[in-house]
Amino acid sequence: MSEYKMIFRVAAELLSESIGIVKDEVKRGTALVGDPAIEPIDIAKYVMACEERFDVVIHDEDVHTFLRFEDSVRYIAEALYQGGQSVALATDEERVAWYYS
Amino acid sequence: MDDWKRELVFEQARLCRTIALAERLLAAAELTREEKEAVILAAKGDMPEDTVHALAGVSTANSFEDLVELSQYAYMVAEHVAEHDSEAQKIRRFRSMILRPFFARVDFVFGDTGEREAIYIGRYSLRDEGSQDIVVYDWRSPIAGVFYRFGTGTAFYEAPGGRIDGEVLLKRQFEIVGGKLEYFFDADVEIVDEFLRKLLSQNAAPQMKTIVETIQRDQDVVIRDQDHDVVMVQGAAGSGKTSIALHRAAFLMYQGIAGAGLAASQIVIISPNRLFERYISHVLPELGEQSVQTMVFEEVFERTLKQAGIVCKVQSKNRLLEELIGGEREWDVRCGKLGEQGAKEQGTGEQGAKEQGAGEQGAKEQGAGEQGLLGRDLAFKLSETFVEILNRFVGEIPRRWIPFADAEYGGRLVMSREVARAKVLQQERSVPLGVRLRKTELLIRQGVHNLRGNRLEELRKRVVAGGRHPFDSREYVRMLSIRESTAMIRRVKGFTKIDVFALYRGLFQDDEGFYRLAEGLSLPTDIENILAFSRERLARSGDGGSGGSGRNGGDGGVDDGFVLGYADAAALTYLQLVVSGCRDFVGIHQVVVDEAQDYYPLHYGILRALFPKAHYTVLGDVNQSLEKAADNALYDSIPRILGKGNAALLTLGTSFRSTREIIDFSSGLLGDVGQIKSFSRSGKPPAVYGAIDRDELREGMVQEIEECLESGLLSVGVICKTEREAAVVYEFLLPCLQELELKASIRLIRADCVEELAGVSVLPVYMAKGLEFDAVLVYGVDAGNYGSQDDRRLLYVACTRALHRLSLFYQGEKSPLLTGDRVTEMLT
Repeated sequence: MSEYKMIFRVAAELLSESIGIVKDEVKRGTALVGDPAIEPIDIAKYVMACEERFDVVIHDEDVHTFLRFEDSVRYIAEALYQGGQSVALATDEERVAWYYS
Repeated sequence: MDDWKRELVFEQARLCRTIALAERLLAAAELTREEKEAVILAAKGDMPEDTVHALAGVSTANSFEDLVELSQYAYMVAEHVAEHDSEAQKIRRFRSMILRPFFARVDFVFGDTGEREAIYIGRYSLRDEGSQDIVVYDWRSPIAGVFYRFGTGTAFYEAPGGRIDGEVLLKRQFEIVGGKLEYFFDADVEIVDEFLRKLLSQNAAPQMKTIVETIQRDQDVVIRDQDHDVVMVQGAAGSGKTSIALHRAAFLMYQGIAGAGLAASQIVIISPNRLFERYISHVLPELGEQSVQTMVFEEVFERTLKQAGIVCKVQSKNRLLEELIGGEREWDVRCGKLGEQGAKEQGTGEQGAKEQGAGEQGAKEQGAGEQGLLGRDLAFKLSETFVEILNRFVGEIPRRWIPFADAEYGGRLVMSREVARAKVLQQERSVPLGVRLRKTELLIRQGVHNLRGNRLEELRKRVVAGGRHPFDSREYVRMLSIRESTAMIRRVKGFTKIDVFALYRGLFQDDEGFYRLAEGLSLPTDIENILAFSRERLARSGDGGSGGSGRNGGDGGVDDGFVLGYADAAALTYLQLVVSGCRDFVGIHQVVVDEAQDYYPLHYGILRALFPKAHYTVLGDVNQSLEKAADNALYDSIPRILGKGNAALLTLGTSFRSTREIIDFSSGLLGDVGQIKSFSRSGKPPAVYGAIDRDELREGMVQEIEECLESGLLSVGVICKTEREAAVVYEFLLPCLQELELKASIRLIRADCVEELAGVSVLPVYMAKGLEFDAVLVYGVDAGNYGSQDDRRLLYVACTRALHRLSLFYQGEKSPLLTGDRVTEMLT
């Protein structure tokens, strides 16, 4: 299984536990922030669970960008591969650094 | 005679040996390819069962993950595939070599050693597998340049190691078809006329062909130039500009001995439209190279605006031209009438066209008076003056337009507004403003992260001491922190994120500010009207307005049905690129701009922003600009706007496309301007037909089309002034042509459509640019349709599309443009 797929599956499991739905119902397009059905406290729970499980830092000011489930998966992938070679996952910091290089 | 026979036997033997070598190399390459295929299959076999194996299947629910996973395995396979493709390319080349291994021979005596070598030149090089001797030289190799540039006598070429002097003793050209030597002849100076004349007398192909055998000396200079950052070519219609551009691309891709050729991915061609892209798409593969990417400006606009969060459609240049060129009310009335009469006679089939014409006419009436302003708005917004205003505006943005605010977190000041502004202003000015702002935001975020631990602890204490809640305390604290941090970052983004659309609209809403920015610049006399016009057009796209919002500046609504005018789209694209920078095309080393006269300073400003480090090949003809007058001053401004000092302008004054009669007639249209030399090929003189009524007009056109096709011409272009006129003419001719049961198909070429050009094509003049037809019929050359100086250039473009036969048709009063001395002389 690819690493991305692994992140996706584990994160889906964590989200299903946090908001109390069946894991298979979590799709990449599942709405997170802004969806009235998901309480802010559950989002906080999900964020903390991801940090613990993946050993990454999710900055609080970024959580509002998780409009869909896949946004959070991509964020975790970026955090895991920060400084890596992946162009597709280049972070803002890398983009800024490029102009100053 | 005996000498000639001896030479013939020698050349035939040489040809046989070369073909035998190509066949051996082909067999070896095919074997290698089979081996590579086996390796690829094995590599693919290593992929896990559940991996998606084709991109086509990646549009399903989990496509993003599939894509990421696929890319991991694809990388492993890609290397083998690249090797396989390289073998496949070799195979294509060898197959082509077997049919025609070379087309020329030059006997060169090297000045330093006195050694004589017979250099055979072909489309690709061929090396003996044993001795490693070069049996055929690629036309792009340095020594092959001797063939294109010199006759017999003293000659030289630039090799990687420096200039090589010598003497050409023999220059010979071959006609080889299907591996058989048809004939050869020796030439003295230029590429032999007979050879070229034979090629030029052929029919126009549906797609552009290669010209390696007949490249002329001045064309070769352009193709091989490596000394300039910008190579510009002013070339008459039919002088081979586009061919040169493509052969130059192939030359730049040539690996040669130095192995320093560009990859296909490092070259981009800026193309006027998709039809043209398709027309030229075969040339590079025929030259044995991969196709390079082509780009249309509207695509650049849409892509850039999307990145800026502006969701809209962009008016295409062709739609704009349709508005600008087809603006005459008289014309609309006439066009409508034609449709109406046609409908009466031919039944319901034409009813749709008539209704469409009537609807458009109504719309035009409504917009009457806006027409001239639209053209002036376009001319101003794409001018060098406006580029300068936009540059000054960008410089002013951090001082006047960004609402810097204190960045606070948890009651503590992370960065004051003054510090934030200073940070943006003091950073390197060469770094785009958007990137400087983003860097400032990153500094603020770093400050926030440093404070976060303490802040969470404060919140925890407050939660414990404070009130009751049903949640786990840690989770509750985190929720509060997320809420607080979200509010903080939104405040910060209020000044670190630039909304270019709002800024651009603001530029026109502040008259005083606008005139301050324009200080010292020469503005159009009706600038106030242009500003008011812009305010109105941009307000139509305002937030939540009934006209629909084109913006997605953040929380606002999105309506992707909004169409942004061409000029505003171009200006917004430039603004976004300058403000935010663009590093999407850093790999591009060479930009080829065709039909350069149709672009404005702002276009070149956009190119500079997209490809700052690239070299440029710019080809145009100032006599072929459509909606604006252009002169050679264009070529002074281009290097300046592109920011390149090292530029060269070359002029190609000989037209190869059309017969002498067509060229003389067309250049007569331009009065004193056109000094186009024609290649000595003669044909039927152009004819102008006046008709009393539309039946006679139709009869004349149908008869001309029939004659053209019967005489063996394969492509006929019926060129109209606009798409609307073309649609009506198509409906008007179709029934008669169908009755004749011609073998050739008839089609209407609309703006932005991509079609084959064989048979009879009815199309607007702006779509015909860059294309050619065996025969051209120019429709509607009456005084009302072609009366102005702008129309003169349109007529010139239309007429110069013809290779062999040209005829012009009108009803009523003949266009005054067709009454000049030179034109009349040509017709008698």
